[in-house]
Amino acid sequence: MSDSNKLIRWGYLPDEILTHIFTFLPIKSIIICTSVSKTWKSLIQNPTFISTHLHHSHTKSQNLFLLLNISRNDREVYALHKEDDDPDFTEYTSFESPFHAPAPGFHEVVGTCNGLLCLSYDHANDIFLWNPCVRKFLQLPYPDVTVDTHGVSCTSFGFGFDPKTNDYKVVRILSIMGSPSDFVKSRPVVEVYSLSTGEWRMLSASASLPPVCAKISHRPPAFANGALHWIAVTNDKKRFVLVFDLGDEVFRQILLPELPSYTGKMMWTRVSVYGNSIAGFQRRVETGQINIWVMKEYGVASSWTKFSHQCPTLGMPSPCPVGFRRNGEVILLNIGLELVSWNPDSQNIKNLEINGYFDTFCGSYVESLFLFDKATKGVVTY
Amino acid sequence: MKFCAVKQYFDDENNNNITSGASTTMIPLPNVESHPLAILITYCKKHLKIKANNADNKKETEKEMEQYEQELLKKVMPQELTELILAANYLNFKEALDFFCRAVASAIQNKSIEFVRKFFGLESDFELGEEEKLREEFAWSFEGVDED
Repeated sequence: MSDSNKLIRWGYLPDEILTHIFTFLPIKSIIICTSVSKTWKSLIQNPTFISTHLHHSHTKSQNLFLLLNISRNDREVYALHKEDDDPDFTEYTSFESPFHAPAPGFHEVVGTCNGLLCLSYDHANDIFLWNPCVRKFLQLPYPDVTVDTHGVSCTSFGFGFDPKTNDYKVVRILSIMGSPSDFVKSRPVVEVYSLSTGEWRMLSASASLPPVCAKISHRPPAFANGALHWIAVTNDKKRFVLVFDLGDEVFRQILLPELPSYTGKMMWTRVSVYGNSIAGFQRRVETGQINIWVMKEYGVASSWTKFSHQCPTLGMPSPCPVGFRRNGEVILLNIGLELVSWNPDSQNIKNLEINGYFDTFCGSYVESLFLFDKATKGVVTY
Repeated sequence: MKFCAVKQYFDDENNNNITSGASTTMIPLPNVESHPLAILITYCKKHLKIKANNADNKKETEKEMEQYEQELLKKVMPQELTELILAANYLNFKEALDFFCRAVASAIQNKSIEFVRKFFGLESDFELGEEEKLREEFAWSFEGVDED
């Protein structure tokens, strides 16, 4: 076979084989390939390929990571750790925030999904969608409802993916308060941003609003089963899980377990993703006690089960639970802002030697190419 | 039967009452050269053998298979990979297709644009200045790329 024949053969590699080869490349190399030829560029910067690549990422277990936002040398850093059985919890890679924050921890993480991170700085109405793997971000347009237009409010955010419409959505719930010490007087205002339209929409249907007089936790919600979950509290101090289905855009409630009065003042702090379901954390600052409840059967309130082992107290005041690792261990933020990993079965505690923030976020992360296609308007490269 | 295209042929032929002549049946494969076909047959036989030897131990199978694959790659020229990929694709032999695609990906991973073009025998078809713009926009991705 002559050399010229070989040359022609390469050129005849069908597109689906070329893209199959690309899925095996690390993201940096995929980006380099966009500069090889026009054909390759259009194959890669294509929503179909980006979806295929994500699907491939999900099936390759070594591409699943835990994302933490941490403090390093006074800078805000997002670190990725592999979720396999690495006893040393070594870092795979880290990203610096491109948002010129005046101080670390300035921007709060709303959530992460399919490689995208959603960050907010509510006081300036700044909200970003960011893919650190491809160094692209998008600033959302300013929402319609703000402190200036509607008065003092308490804002809660959520971010997730709606498979029905193949769209990423950011939810913003504002509880309008009468005076700073009042709970909500009227029903909260809900706005939803869609990446596909690039616009905010205010929800008006009754089912699309949270129940009256609900104050919603400021902490990032847990995104599970296509819905966002926050801890919320009614005016008569009863706590429950507020659920917003991203597909139907309606609110529901999930009851929290009834606790006998002798258990004392355990405060529900946050909801976390736990496998295919959710878990709730309770904390009592004075005694340092932490309870972890898991909803064994998602959506069934009677299936809430408390972890039989108690989280060790680790010194006073109690550590703050941050979230779960895929292997079932719990990441806790200790008093000195150090992160530790607790194994509920072996009771083993490992100091991760990582410094967190008061608002350290942890969540499952997968590398993706979202925002890399040119189609999305206003995407910034840095 | 790993060569799904061949399996399809047998399934079709069964409707025409072919009996035990399987070992002497000639199956036309016009799109596959004999050399890559020979390699694919060897790969397939080896894969099945390793799997049988390590019946329940998936990790052992993977490890042995990896060792065999490393040895195989040493004997195969990069330019032969394209024939092997096309052959595996035509025969619908998924494991081999994945393996050879991964091999090509490893060969071009973290390499410069020029290296990749040379490897595939491609020329730049960008307009004047277009390539420069792209290199500038994604400058960060070229950091740490292997020297040519």
